[in-house]
Amino acid sequence: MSLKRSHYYHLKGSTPIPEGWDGIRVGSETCTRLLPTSRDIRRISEEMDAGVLSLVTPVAGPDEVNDVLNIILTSAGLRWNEVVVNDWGILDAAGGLEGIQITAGRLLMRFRRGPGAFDPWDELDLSSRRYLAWGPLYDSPFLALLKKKGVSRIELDLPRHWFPLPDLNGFRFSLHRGTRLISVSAACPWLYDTEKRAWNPTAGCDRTCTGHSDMVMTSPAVDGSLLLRGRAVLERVEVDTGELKLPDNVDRIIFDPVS
Amino acid sequence: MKNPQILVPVNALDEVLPLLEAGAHWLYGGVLPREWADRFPWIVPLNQRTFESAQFPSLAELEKAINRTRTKGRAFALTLNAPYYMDEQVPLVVELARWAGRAGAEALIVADPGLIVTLRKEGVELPLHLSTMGIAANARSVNFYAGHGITRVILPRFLSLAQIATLIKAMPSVEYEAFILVGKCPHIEGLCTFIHDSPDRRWPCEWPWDLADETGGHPPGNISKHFAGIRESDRRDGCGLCALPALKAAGVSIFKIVGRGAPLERKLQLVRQLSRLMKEMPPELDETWLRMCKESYRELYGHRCSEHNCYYPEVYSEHRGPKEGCR
Repeated sequence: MSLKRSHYYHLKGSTPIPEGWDGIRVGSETCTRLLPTSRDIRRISEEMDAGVLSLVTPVAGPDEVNDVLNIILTSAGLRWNEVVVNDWGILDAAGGLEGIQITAGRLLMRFRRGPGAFDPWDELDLSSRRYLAWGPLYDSPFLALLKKKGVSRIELDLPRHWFPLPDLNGFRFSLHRGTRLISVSAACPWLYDTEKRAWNPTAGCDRTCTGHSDMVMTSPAVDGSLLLRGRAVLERVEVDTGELKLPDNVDRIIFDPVS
Repeated sequence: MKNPQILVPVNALDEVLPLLEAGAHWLYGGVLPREWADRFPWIVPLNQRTFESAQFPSLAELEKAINRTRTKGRAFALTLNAPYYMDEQVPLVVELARWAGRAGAEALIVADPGLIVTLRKEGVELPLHLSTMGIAANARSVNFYAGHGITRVILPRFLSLAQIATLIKAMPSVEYEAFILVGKCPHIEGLCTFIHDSPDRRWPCEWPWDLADETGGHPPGNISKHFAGIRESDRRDGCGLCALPALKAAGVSIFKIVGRGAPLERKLQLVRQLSRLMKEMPPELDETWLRMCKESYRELYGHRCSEHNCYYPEVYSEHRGPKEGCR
């Protein structure tokens, strides 16, 4: 079965979906300032006459949540196919929308992906390996709650050690290739003002981070490196998803822009 | 407006009375029942602590601690705040929740929405307090959780004072708890997947990280400074004392001291200092109050405060004065 491939599309520029790709994703898992405006939503909907259009949304602050919902509501009336949600309040409000698929984002799912001081994998029994690799997918009441809120698709990224996915009928899965999401900065590093010794308000952010390549984070405490992209801390994943035994309901691969 | 109360962690019976006498109104802590500890390693947490000294050593001792707390007219909350529990773990967690109710705990601190639903379904009636691991960062999220039985929200650490005020005004029907001392996290903890298992309790967010631009250039100066600040600060020196009047005015009713597993003497120092300042708190921030808070900070932590330790850095930035620099 061929996997549909979705590519992260940045708001800069407006081009058709590249050949070989099945859809585009717009927005951010980690920052409300990287969301498209309602006007962008309409424009993209008009320009893209084929393929899956996915709107990706983050956790929202008290002064942001209604704006994020308005963008989602705008998309629901247009050609947008999917909204990826990482905020419980947004899920609660958007879950009943008709005409749009609600997807649980990686952050809503709460997978454990980060490095720690140790890698105990070899000493762990099956149960603990399940916990680390795919634990939230064994949390039935949580999954039932997602279903009740209208979630039909779940986003995943790869655990530090491969472990077979559970058979979960009732959901489709999108698998991130290229990175796993480790953490989110509490204060955006790009907003730090060295003169004021404070972080400038988010509302004034001009998306400086989008004009820069990723920052590579290294530490003597850990092998390998992490990436700082905006306020997201990511880890590059080298695994070829084509080599993995994936269940049939993993039917979408998401490529990060630099993978 | 009611006076806010102080909440502080406890992990041994003999800590209870000293902490209450120092001024604490609420105690919170956790325990690993034998059945859990026998089945799951530290990396599979029952509550958000992976080291032994943060837990009560036994259910028996915890029960006595809860009793002792209640005898003094104060309250205890049990932490069951792992971000998720697998189905095979849930019966143990529910049983512990039931035990906590029988033992006299006043509340459970929870994070997993699946567990929240299950507890009510299983007839566990204890009030539920939402951990920061549950990430209620806006009124709609609070509303979602309140609809499932949450009666108190522990505010995510990254919210500004203005955001806190906006949120509480929009959703006044639950109680709110705010971090005040110790444990400032550079990441959003409810979204953080770093594994906190280092035996020296220096978590990955505190490791010394070097940054380089992926194309080979230097990172922008402010990025480097941001990370340098985190590296040079000790996240345990977190503080929000200056903001107490603003938090109270916004409607926060519980002030939280972090530090499960910290030595008793340290916790007593923190409770006493916070208790003293709460008695002297003016209705609004003023220079006398800020000076008092900064002196308290230096007494508690042995150095000047900085924006990297400040829970509400907008206050730090506005009031630090021209001569204050890094410590």
